[in-house]
Amino acid sequence: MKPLYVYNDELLKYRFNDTHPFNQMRLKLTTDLLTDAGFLNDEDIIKPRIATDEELKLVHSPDYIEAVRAAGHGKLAAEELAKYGLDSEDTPSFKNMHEKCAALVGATLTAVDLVMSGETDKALSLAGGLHHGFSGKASGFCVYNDTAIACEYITQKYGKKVLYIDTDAHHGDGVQWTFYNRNDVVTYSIHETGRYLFPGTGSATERGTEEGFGYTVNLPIDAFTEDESFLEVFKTSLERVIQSFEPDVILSQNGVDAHFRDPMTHLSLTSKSYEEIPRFVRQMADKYTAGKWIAVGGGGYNIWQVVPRMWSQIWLAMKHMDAPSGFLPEEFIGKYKEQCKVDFPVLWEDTLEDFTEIPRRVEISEKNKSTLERIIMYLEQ
Amino acid sequence: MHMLVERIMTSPVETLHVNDTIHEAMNMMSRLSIRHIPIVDDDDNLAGIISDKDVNLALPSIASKDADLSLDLELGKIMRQQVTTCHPLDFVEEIAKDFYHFAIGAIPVMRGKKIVGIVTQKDMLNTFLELTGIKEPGSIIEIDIKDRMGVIFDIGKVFKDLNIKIVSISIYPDADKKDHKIIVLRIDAMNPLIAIEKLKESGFNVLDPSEMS
Repeated sequence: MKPLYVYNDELLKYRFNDTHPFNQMRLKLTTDLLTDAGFLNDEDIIKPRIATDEELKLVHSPDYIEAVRAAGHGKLAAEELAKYGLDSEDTPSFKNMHEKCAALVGATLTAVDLVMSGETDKALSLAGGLHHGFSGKASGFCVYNDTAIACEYITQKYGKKVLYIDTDAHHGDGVQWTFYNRNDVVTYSIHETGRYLFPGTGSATERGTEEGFGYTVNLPIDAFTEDESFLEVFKTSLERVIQSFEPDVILSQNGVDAHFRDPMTHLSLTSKSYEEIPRFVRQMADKYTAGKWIAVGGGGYNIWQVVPRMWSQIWLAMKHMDAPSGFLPEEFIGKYKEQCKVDFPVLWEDTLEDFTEIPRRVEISEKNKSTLERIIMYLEQ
Repeated sequence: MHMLVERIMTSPVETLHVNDTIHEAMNMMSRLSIRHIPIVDDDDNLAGIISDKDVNLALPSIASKDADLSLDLELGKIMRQQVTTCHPLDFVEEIAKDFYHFAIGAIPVMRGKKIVGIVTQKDMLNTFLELTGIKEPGSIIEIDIKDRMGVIFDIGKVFKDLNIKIVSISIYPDADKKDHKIIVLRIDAMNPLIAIEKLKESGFNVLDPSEMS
């Protein structure tokens, strides 16, 4: 079966304002890079549908949806904006925000339906991955939480058990709290600790509640963690989680903001990790979920130097292709190099001239390993 | 931490009588998952306290034949009579010192001779977690300041102007620099970069995570 790629230019319109760090231009850059390299063709691309209010209500409260709709039409009072988190620098209201956010959720659900209906076994929708949105409040650049909606949609419409994998540098709090007392969705999040970084939650001791106890897994890693330590704790813990939970399908959130060139976080991953993460997830899907894997995007705030190359790896992993090396396609470089105000990367793999070595590497790796051991102990209980 | 004991104490408290036995104490400890029981006299006044450690010390070893006899021992015989107590209106930080200095596990809360509550080490830890713990999402910013009048106002103004809410503030003395303090802010923003830039423009020394320990 051939994997499918959900995209159209309408998805680029999820934009708070001209200076906001969340910039969906990265979707177009990634799509163009894949197309120019000959990895993505028209027949791979599926146009997204728009999510209905009923689908949004799987996770969000009706009053919040009404508030987002009104805010996008300039009809929500100031105190109401504040109540729903729509007046902050992170998630300010913008014109037609409900319609644009519903389009983004629709794209994720399109990918879900493609896989769950059996049309294909792997689908990618990079517009989604907005894991911070809460039931009744916008948070952390996220208005509607497409990832949580997708998990709930899979359990309700298809009656299947979902493993949610979140490799964004930030803790996937919105998804975690949505399913905190549930045992049909397991949420696994590996992220920078809350010592400095938003949202501050996601400690290993957050493990779920009631029937959901043990179905929330958090692996917080130290600031400045590098490839080797990340991949070790990620791979070991993830396979253990899959073995004990036995999911029917994997939904992965693929924030790429743990990259050392991302301005927002303090992790130190390189292209090596982003080549391996999706390939390992694919391997897990092939081994444990009959290949069923839906992938969405997420964080990533260096849209020129980081996101397009890292996100391309998810699509290539779905196509069972090895990570390319050497020069990016000339056509792509020609199209975008001039527009880019920072050094434009010309190779698929990272060059490391601006990578700063951290003196505490040994200590950081030790700490991550001890967190891994604690999580494995929990899984064995 | 000028929180009052009455806010964190467990109340009402289960007690036993001086004539009750070790057997009853063991049952109560296991049933309620507790490690300390205040002991009262005929007038319901506090007479002493026993801990799981006291019970263990009073019991013979497993090998002994007199196990049954020990279980019938009255609590009045093994309880500690010198009890550190406190009042519901005491400050939590005051009793924290008692826990620390006397290495004790629980402090009965008294009004006169009547016991109205109990505070354990676990309650103290919970209170600490509540103070440092988080309920709302946020990012952390640390600022090294030379202590002076109005510094919190100046920092607050930067955030007011940016329309970013400060969720919590903690202040520590700087271990290395005299007259300096570290201000730790938890702010309601995923993107702290705008605030960091404004703080720097206003002359504040914002610490980078690579230089924090």
